[in-house]
Amino acid sequence: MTTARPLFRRSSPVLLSSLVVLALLAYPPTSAAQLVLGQYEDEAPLRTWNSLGPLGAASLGLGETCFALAADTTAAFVNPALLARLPKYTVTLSASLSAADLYRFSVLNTGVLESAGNTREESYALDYGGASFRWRGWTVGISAGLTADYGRPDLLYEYAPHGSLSYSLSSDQAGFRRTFQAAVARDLGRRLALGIGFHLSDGHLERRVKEDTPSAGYSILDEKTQELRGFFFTAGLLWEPVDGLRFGGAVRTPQTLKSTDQSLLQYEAPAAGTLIEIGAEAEDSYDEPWMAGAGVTWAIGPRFLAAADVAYFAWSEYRVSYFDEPLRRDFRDIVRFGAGVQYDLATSLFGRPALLPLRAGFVYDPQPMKAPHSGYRLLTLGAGLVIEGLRIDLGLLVGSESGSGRDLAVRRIALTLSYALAGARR
Amino acid sequence: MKNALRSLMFMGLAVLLFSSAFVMDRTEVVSVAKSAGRAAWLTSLGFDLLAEHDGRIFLVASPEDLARLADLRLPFRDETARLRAGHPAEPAPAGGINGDYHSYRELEAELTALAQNYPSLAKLSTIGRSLEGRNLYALKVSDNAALDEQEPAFLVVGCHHAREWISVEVPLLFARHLLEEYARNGEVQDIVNRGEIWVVPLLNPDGLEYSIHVYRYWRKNRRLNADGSFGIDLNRNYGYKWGYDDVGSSGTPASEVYRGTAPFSEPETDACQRFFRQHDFRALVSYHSYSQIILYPWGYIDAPTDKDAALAEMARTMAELMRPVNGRLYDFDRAAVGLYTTNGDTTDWAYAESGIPAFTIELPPVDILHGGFFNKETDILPLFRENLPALLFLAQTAFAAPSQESGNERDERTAAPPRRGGDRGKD
Repeated sequence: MTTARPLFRRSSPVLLSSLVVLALLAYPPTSAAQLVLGQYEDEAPLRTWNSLGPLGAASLGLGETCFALAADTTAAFVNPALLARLPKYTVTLSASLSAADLYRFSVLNTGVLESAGNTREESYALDYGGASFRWRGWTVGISAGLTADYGRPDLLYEYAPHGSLSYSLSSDQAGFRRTFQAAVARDLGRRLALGIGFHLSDGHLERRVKEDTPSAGYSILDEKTQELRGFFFTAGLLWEPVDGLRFGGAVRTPQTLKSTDQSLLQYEAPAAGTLIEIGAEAEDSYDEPWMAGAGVTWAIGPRFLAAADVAYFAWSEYRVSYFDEPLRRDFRDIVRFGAGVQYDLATSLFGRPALLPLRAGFVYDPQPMKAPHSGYRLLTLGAGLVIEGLRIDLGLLVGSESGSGRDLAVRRIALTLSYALAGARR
Repeated sequence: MKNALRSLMFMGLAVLLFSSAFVMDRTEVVSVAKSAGRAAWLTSLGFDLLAEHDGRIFLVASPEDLARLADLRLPFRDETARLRAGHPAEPAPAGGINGDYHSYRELEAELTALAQNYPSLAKLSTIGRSLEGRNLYALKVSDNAALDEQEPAFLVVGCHHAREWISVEVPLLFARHLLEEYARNGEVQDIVNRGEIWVVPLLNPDGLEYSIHVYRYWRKNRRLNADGSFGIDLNRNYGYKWGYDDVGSSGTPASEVYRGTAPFSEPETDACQRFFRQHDFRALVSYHSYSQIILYPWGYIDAPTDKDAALAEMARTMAELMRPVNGRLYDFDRAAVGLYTTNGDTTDWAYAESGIPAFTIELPPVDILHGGFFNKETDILPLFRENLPALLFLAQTAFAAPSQESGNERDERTAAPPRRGGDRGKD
């Protein structure tokens, strides 16, 4: 039932609160959610709508904090000012393994096929590569990352009385989005840095539902493909009022993801010579909202670090045009929260001093649908090794969703390698 | 408003041009830029001017005229294709993911445009809302449409079943035809003047949208049933003999013919019955597909109504009127005999409620192997055209008829014992 495909991105922590009340007040008309699949609309990235970027394993282990934490170049995806706190030359690679449960999507549990329980989509990918270098107070970073996975579990139903296939229905969906980033950060004195980033997105989404009735001699095929492209900017700042305390903030502009769409609906009954096709092409768009967030890291003594983030996604501004028609998405703005702590064990390896960071964190990640109110509560764990210029981090995220009544579970394991060719700053 | 007026003017121009220019072979409509004195100058040169619109002068041009325009070094624009596309007899395709078929939004836009373009003849109403909150539209076509003149009414309903996309198009094209032909067609004018034609082209918008976007063969509405299944068959949810047996409908929620938890439990059917009771309907047609057959009550049992002969004669006449158009022969019969038993359906209820002639027309194709619930986009207009004479006939008949006695009152006298038949494919 599941397929492996490139991984997605992460997201980060959360909290939220009073918007729940506001969203309840704005509760949609009766049963409006019956068509709205919410968590798993076709264009919904696996696991969460609130994509920040391909966060590295260090962030992941620390409750997906990323606005003020500069462990590797993945930080620049969210807050480009963090480039200024990386070592002079840094190269980062990251890979991840993910799994997400789904219950209701496409033809599954929406009236056509039913499942007794949740289905699971698993995927793995080398999902990030980036580098940065600094020259005279300017730091430049370039990177590419997988920012969305649109894959869904493949579905196949077959009815074969007496061993002869009489009917089959299959559904599959695959897709991804990747984002290329170029960013620059500038130190403004010892305690302040600013950064901006330019992001180019492209992606692909395809969906296919096929129904075969060999016993009656006809088949139906429904295929849709979309090619996606768009861009957005990020801007961020970093402020360190005192040593050991760092505040970071960043804003991401809205992104209009242009989509070139093609559709083919086909009915075929070869014995009768019947072939009916309805084709369509369109130029559509997904207007994704702006996002802003802030975070803090606090070095409490030489070995202990605490981090926390909050991010706001203006999902009420999300708009979808699909084959020239606006699609209804009853979304609300959400606030997401994450926090974590890190303890550095000092040791030595191969006769060289080394650090073994141990991390734990928590994420609350509410989803934007008004109905049902849904959010993930996630625990994160992490560990790493820092020896001379090399960092190896491993992060784990586990948790489940509440609100849909299905306890949709998610898991993610990330491994990030980062190598600094010169010593780290501060 | 300005754009609307300009559109209206352009449509009028298109009609004017097509009523004159294209009767001649090899003529074209071209336009030249308008300037002071140019229209008079062209007339003096013998050109056949049609109209002035939007800063241009439109004229009919033969090949010789086109050569003369070229000799005069007068730039001109060929408007033929543009005007042909706007000709009312060839409505522009709806477009979108479902091709020339209408989605809910496309239909909404089209109905709104018709009501705006023909304010004296058309009035758009919302008779209720679907489960997911979409409007259920009814377009009234009548002279003095804005007034309640207490005229006899004729109801044409489409798309109880989501996958039967063609059943939206035929009622919609019927309304469009009445409006566009009113000014030039005596029969249409007579019908529209004498009564009210109400067209409800889409009674199951939620299901239609699901059929378009998720699963083409979806049939029911989008009710989330208690057992986790989805949908209630709206054409088994009407109140007459609802749940009469488990052959003509089903009490199992996952069934394609699930009748719901109670008569009119669904907002769509409830809206339809309330709307029906507010007007003096004298006839009803409910469009479905497929099977190419005209059905009339009863559907819940194999027994004739007390107007069986009259209904059969009307159905026969309709079929005969339809056949010459495209050569297709529609069968006709009592619903329980011609197709299968159905309880809680529209036409049984309408007949029982008011004794009016009530027909279910199952549009072509005749069987699943010729498309089933699929019709080619190029078949939309031909299917409408072959149904048009039947609808006009029924409207004429309805408006000539006095108010009816309730069929329900007679049913107790005429109903035969129920026939227990097998469950067949559901159209």
